[in-house]
Amino acid sequence: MRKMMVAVWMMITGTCLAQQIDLKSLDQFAAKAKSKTEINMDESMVKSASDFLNQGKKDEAAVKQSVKDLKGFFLRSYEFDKNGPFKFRLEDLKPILDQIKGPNWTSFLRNQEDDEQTEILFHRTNGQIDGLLLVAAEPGEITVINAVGITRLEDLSALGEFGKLAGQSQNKSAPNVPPGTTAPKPEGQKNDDN
Amino acid sequence: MNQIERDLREALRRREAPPGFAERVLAKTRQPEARGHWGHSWVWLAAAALVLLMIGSIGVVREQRRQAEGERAKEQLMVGLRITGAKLRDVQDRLATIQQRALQRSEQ
Repeated sequence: MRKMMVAVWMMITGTCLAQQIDLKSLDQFAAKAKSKTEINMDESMVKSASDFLNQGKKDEAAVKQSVKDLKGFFLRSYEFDKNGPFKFRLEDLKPILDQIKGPNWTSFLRNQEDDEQTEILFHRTNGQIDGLLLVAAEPGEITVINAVGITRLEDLSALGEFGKLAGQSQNKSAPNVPPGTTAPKPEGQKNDDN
Repeated sequence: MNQIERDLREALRRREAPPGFAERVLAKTRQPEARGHWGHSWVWLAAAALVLLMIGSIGVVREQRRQAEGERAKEQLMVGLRITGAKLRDVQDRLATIQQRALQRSEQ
């Protein structure tokens, strides 16, 4: 019985941890960045922050709605001097992208143009979305956002018009994405490039 | 018997205590006891008040810290979501541009 409980606990923790991406590989860019934003919020911090959001204020009420299922929020955003000696390369993202090769990660959007790359992926557990990873890289800037626990894509609507696009994915139909951009695979179908 | 001896004898002569002396002495001995009892209570009361004050202060400090941490976490979350929103809008703008370019190409 105890072994079974340990196994169940390990499965649960494993699932939770799977949605969280290790962003340590980006730490090396912090020293080279002109400006940086680093946010590490676990579930208790998100809850604490949510408790302080004022329902009476429109923007805060929208955020409260967006984060009601959020269990972790991790962000790294580095801006580099475009004329400086350091040039960010897409290969530098490899340690991050290697972590999303598992079958639970579904590519929602991938766009690569010249030296710019944008990726949005969703983590699914038993077919249900429960995590988001956004990677946006361009020569002078890199942003990686990992939101653990996002279950309803409509919640993203509070963050911008993008919610409309996300809503189409929730309905399991391919979003209207332009050529050169990969659309998400249907639920349960493993991503070819994962 | 010289004068000194006479004076001593006179001084040490047994005398009866004035009436009510014993009661007064006993009453005096009781008084400090009563004052001590009250004094003891005040010490305990002061100690209890001090403990309550300390507990209250700790509570206030903890609440202030919780408030500060909560406000800080809220600010962090708001900044994070603002960046997320901005990035998602960038993505959508980029998609719209690509789509427009594709449409123009197909029209040509």
